[in-house]
Amino acid sequence: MFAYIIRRLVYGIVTLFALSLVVFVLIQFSGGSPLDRLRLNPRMQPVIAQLTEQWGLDRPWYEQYFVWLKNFITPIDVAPQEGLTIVMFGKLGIWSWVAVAAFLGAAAYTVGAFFATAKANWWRTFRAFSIIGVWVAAFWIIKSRIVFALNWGTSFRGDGPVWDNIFGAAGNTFRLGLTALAIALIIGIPLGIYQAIRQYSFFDQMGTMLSFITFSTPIFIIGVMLQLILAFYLERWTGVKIFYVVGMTGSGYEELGRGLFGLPSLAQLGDVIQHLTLPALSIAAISMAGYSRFQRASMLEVMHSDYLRTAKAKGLPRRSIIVKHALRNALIPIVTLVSLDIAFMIGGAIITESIFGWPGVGRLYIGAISAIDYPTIMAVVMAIGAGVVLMNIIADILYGVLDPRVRYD
Amino acid sequence: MTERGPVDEAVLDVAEGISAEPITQWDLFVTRLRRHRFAMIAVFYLAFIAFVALTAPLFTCAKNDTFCGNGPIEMSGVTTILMLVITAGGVYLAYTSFRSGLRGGGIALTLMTFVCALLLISSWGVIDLPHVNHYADQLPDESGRILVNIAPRASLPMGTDDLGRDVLSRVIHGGRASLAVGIVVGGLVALLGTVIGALAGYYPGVVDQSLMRFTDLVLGLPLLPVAIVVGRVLPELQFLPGFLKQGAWGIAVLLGLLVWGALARIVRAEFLSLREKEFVEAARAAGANDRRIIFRHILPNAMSPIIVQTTLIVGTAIIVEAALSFLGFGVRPPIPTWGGMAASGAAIAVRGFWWELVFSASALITTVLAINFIGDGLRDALDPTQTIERK
Amino acid sequence: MADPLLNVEDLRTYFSTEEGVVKAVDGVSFQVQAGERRGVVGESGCGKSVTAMSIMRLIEPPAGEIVTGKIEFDGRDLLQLPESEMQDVRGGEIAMIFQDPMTALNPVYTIGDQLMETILLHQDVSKSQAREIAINTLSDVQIPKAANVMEDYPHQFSGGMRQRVMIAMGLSCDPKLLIADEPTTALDVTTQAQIMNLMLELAEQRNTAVLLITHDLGVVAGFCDNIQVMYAGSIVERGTGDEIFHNPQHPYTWGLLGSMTRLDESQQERLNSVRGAPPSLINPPKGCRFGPRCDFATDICREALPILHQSQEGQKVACHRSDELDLKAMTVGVG
Repeated sequence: MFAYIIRRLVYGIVTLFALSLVVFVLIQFSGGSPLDRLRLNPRMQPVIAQLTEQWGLDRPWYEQYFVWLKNFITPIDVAPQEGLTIVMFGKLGIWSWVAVAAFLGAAAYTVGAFFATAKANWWRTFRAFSIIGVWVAAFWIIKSRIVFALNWGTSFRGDGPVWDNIFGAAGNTFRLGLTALAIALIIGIPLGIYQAIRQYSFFDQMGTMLSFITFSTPIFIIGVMLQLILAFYLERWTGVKIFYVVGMTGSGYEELGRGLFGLPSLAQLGDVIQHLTLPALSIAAISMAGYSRFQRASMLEVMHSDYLRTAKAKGLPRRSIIVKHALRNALIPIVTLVSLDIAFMIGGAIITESIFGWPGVGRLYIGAISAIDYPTIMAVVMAIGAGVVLMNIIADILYGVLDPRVRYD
Repeated sequence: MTERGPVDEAVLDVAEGISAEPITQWDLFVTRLRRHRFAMIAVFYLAFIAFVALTAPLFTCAKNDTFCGNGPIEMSGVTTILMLVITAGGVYLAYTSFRSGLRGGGIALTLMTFVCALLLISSWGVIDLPHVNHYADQLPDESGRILVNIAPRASLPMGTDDLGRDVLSRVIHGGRASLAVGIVVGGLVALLGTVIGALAGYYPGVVDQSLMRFTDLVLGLPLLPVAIVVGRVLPELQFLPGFLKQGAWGIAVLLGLLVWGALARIVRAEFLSLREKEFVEAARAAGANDRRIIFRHILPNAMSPIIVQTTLIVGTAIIVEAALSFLGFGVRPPIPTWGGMAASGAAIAVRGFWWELVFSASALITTVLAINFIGDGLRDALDPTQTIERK
Repeated sequence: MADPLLNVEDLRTYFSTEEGVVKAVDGVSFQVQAGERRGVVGESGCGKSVTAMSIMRLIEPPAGEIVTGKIEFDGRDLLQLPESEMQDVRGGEIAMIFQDPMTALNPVYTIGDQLMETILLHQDVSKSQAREIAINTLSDVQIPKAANVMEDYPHQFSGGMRQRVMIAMGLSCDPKLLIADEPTTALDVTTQAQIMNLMLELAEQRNTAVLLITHDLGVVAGFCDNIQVMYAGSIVERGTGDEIFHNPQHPYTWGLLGSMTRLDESQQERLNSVRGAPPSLINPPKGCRFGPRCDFATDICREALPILHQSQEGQKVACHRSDELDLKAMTVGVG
């Protein structure tokens, strides 16, 4: 198990390396330059020369790549926060990865060792999960006392450090993505299960048809249609603004007043929901269609399985046949699907964020692409790539926990 | 629970010599596909879309009339003549093969070959003919004003856009980009995925390991972000030949190079299990070489997942191309694409001019839907273990 | 004779498909006495499994439906029972063992979980008592270290061991009838006999009647008191093992016997097989269903459907010409 995780991590790092090389080379060969816009202004000549020097744009592409790569994995000094800071990785430079690797390795070993013996019964599985919880808690406590930032460069558009930009935007993206995921899971999975139980019923056929249509619809059409119908046209007909189509909060958000303990007040919450609903729905619609289709197929396969026939022949009531025997088996495959969806959450929101003006990673990316702001482009691509690698490994581990047949070689 | 499927019935008829006609695998396939009503409708719909898009230069609007015809033909004479020749040739081939008793598979193969050729030629036309972007199609009225944002009416069934271009013409031409993407991606994926998967599955050890690591790598690339980067820099890449830089072709090749990984994995799994089967052993014992075993014995048995998976990937690719064009990193305006039209249509739909958005979006959705239905129908029809669903 | 344990009368189970109605079981009647071992033989698709599924009421509507018939078990008509009472019968009074032990156990629960589930369902015992019973039953089916394997998952077992677990699961609640649907078909030849012996021995100890369904005459030969042969949805011949094996009256039975390979074959006889394939169950041929494949068919066989009647030799047979034909004389290598 431990060896398996390590091997997967190594493959993942190689993949990320290749990904960075491909994207970097592509950007370099495009012939465009982030300074193109400045060139239009003759008075900018000295600035251009200075920036070319500073960003190393005059050097050959491979030199630029290695400089970027070295910086990309090197921690930098950041100002300590409120006196709590006890570890500053910046001082260690690139060697701080040894410390990080030691921590993560120990965590992975513990988790792996527990999962390896966790298959016997639910109690041991639960214990294994609680161990993960301990590690997460430990990480959380340490997190507030360490300062860690990588030298991801400065945005060519003058937006400041890329590291801060990405992590600021990632929070917004996750607010959108997790809401969408929750909606999709809560509706999509029960829908698929119900369809499978009532196979060939009118409801099933309608559901299949609807999810087929949704699945075949590009997300930008769903987003634009939701905007038009539920925001613009609805407002025109009713005269009431129910949903907003741009941004995360209204301009007067802070004036709405804070609630208890500094939490958002009800008015603020309402404002957030008004902004969040449409973009979340448009992402959720596609995932929902995918989940319900997948869940229906997986449930049907289980419903026609021999062991379900055995369960019936034992005299189990229909409810416990479905709940105990069918669901447990039918939910296993969807774990993989959902894990990968979380990984692609950042990437998948690119279109939605640009339609709804959501200040997340996707919009950062589109802006960076237009300006050939390669530090930002590279950082976003790498963040998404790392997410995919990590979630793939997590999906595999979870699969092994849920399905006793899986063995890691 | 059915003790005997209807298909077995046909087989048994043959076995007992009851049926006079031999039942081929192809006939079974067609029988099953016919049963999938949506897939059949989808086949006809897609054929219709393809036909309209292919023959677009013949009857879409230009200059002053809604149906003028002569203008575009003049300008795209070579393409049109080529298309007509190939169509005639394809029909003739299909006819002769039908006459000479070449059944089912032969006819299908011929038809598919010439449809593919047609599509390739016609998608070339998107790049070949810069005027197809229909700036020339603006419709000045008597006083010479350009009529922008005209609602659908009898003479302009889909209205005009904010630049006064005929939406119907652009929807028809826009289909060419989507179809080009579909054909190129389908071809590339089927080729790359099959070859790489087959080699990896047939030669275990170093070949398998290295190819599969490479496949994992490609699968690990996040599709949309990478596609956006490539779409952004594509027109500026100096070393590319002109036709790849703009229009749908470059995007299509790019998508094809990015999405073959899943198919390669599936093909590899098929090969891994098939190469251990008795009939392969028998062929090997009979002295067949690797090439013969791969092409004659294993590949035909692995065709079903290849076909189904390729169909589904084609649907995805069309959506991704549309998304890229929507974002402005795909086919560049003024070349019409459904994704690009949806983007400009969305901008004016806010002011109440809904038609460009609605018609381009409907064309896109129905086309992808049709492809997915066909994929679904093919899966049902090609999977011999699956019993036919009751409707 | 006492009231039979199981009395099936004119059972008809049909499946509707796009092509038409498949008459999988078409008018089957038989009785099983308490403690009896009965074999049901026929080639695949003859309706023997569907008969068993019908008795358990495991036919899933809307695809399949028990159209008419009566299934009396222990004095009650199972077809009239409400679903809740039927659940008590399944597993409790009638247990069933399936063909493929590799897939018949739920992969995500332990052997112990699945065994105890049945016991807790049908017996009024505590969890620890149920565990006790489960371990005892596992030892009964000769699984070594029964207490340890309770925590194991099905995938850790071989096919033969899984089938033992299935038998343990079937017998754990002392059912009155055990339906075994091709219980050994998926197993090695060496394991087959062990499993068969074990199952029948345990059934005898518990005075459980066994309905053994198989396509293999060799399997039923040594084990069953009575044998019924099914063909195309109905019973064509029924009698004791001796009668069926030594004096078959129906040409189909005769053909089946001829197609058996025998170790004690002295002459180098050609294997006698039944030619052709079973008829369509959607539009069965007019007259005798075996007619098109029968070497002895005459005009009457093509016109009228023969009914099951008492033959001169003692067993029941559904053949127009059973009394004229002397199949025994033609039998090669059997007898």
